[in-house]
Amino acid sequence: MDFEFTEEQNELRRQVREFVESEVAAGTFEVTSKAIVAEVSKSFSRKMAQRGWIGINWPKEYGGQGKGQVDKMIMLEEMYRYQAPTGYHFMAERQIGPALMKFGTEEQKKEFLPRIVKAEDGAMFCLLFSEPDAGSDLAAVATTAGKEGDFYIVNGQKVWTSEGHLSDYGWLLAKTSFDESIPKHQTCSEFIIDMKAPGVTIRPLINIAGEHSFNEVFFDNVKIPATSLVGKEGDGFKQIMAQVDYERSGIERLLQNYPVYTALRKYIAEMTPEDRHSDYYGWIKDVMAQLEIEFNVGRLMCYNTAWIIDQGKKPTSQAAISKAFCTRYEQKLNDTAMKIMGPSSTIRKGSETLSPAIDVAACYLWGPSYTLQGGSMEVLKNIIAQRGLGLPR
Amino acid sequence: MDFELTPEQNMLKKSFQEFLAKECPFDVVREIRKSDMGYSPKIWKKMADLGWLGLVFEEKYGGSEGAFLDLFVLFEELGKAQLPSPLFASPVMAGFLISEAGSDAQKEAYLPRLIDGKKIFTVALPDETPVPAGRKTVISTGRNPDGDYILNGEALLVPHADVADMILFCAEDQNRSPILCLADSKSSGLRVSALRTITEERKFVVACANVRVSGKNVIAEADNAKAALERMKTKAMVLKCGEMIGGFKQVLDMTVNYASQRKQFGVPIGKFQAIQHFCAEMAIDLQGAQLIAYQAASAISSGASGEVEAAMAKAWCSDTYVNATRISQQIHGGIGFTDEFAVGLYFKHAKESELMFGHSKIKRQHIANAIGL
Repeated sequence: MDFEFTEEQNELRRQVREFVESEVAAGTFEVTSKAIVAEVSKSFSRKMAQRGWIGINWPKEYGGQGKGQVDKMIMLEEMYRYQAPTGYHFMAERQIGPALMKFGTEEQKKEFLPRIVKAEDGAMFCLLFSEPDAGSDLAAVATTAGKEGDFYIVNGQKVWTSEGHLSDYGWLLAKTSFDESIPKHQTCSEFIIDMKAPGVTIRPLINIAGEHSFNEVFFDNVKIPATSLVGKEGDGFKQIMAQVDYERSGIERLLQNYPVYTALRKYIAEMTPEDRHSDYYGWIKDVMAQLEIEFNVGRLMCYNTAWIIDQGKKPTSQAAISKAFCTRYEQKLNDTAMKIMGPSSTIRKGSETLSPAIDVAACYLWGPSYTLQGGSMEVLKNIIAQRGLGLPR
Repeated sequence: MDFELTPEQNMLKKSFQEFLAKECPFDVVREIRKSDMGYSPKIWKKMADLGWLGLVFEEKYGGSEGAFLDLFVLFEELGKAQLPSPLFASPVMAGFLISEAGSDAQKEAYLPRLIDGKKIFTVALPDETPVPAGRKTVISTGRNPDGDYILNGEALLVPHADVADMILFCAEDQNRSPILCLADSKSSGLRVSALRTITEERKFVVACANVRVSGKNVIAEADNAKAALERMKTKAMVLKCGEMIGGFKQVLDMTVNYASQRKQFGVPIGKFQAIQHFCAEMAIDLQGAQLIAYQAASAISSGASGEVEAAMAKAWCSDTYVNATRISQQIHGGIGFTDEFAVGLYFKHAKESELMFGHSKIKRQHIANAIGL
């Protein structure tokens, strides 16, 4: 049992922090919540790539550094503290790369992995999983990919496609078997699809924060080469289940609103001595200490999940626990921040006057999505109960 | 970073588990709780023979100089087994205070007897939370012309005081400065009265009427006493967290087991999402409790003060364990509410543990101060 990091890991943390802080000082990017996913900066991604920080935990044969998941977590923790704009490689590095290493053909690996690791052009990916009638019940996807000679013809609709409008490629789950007698979990396959291919239409969805992040994506007879298939036909659902543990293990769930925490601490620090002796301040101390405890718990859960992966084990239940906990923390952080800051916290960025540096209200408005995306809170609890605790299905 | 125990610690853990499973199954635990002694001298002797009482003490006093984590693992197992014994009172609270603040002569005189289990020590601590003025319990001291200390007043909830040979008082002088001193439990003027408490573990009011303590039995005074007390409390609090995560794990296991067996509407109730989600909540909280408690134990084990980690662990373990025992009562239904079924034991243990060494609100004040609020 050892909660300390190695010297090498402390050095990595120091280097990353130094780099990000110098970028912040240089004004390369704006420190704002959720930028780690939403801010797409090819030039920033390339700076990271030059330092070997994209694919840091990938095997060396694929251009990575061969380091562990814990090392990656350290690097990300420092990046996310300042909301470094990692949107360009975020999805590709976290999910697409590892999935290709596991299920992709040699050609696919050769085509995409070096591109992702170096943040070259054409390396940005989005996920095309959810559909209007396939959310938690993902195997119910109705988008079809029918094989015709050396091609698949894709028809259907996806929804909640984050950054779909900015991505070069989509990672698609579609139905490839139409035999009613086959269980639906064995009817889907995974594909890589060019988001600019003829027949692909992307329509923005504006969320309750008034922001455009996700989209609807329509496929109308989109012709993709048969070599776009990833893994085996009919194995799509199984393959995705192997990938989501990575999606759920990330420290981004805990840190995507770190600027809110920083802003909140600054706000409290600037309160008058008179206010600091009020009953209200006593309450502030209590809720802030609770946030501190929960942040610590969430952080330990993230590192624990990473460590389990480094031991070569599957972190299914642990990753679900970590995501369930961390997303709830984020919601609580934003809610607590608004309570402490009071009515003026409802003033949004872009106001003619008093426009806040950190749009806390927007962060609060983003809250509901945290416990929905990447497995809803309820699906996660099912996983914890059934796969973790062994309760009957 | 390593989230696993060492192979040696795992072996130790296994030996704790085997002993406790063999020596004190639930019916024995209940019998001991209801007994006049409040502990089993037979089991106590075996624990002493196995070296459990001296795990972290120096070899020259009969200890085995193990890591604090070893002791933490023991308390985790004791939390599962719910075995009442003077282990917390004697080697932990009294033993830590003596070894933190005592002179070499005092250590030589007391630690070996406390470690071999032949003598039982206990500690009388001041109130943890404010009480109405008229109910304030305090042991105050003055000096008589011979230089002896004279104790007066009352201390509440002193564990195993009836069987203790020595009682370590955290007393106050006229200037409210703390004094740690040891009194023989047979001292004249010292009276012990039994309390009936939530867990049925044996606790007492210790009343002192001009109890005389010679100067050589003063362990520490003023700032030294205060610091030793804080250090002891931090460690004891973390061991309490160990007990709590052990109890918490047991409660979750029992609840999952019950939900898998108990059938209603023709299916095990564990098939219902309402029940599954309750259990998942417990699993999330337990995972957090285990991580944060081990973090605190590791900090202390590596020689750090671990104060903030301990406060965080105590706050989180207290809140979540209490909550889990409430959920477990709801899932068990009527049977969980009966005295004969073991799950109620943890319901009581959780509440008592929550209030010892400060509940979460108190710990959060400490944490807020520590992070500069």
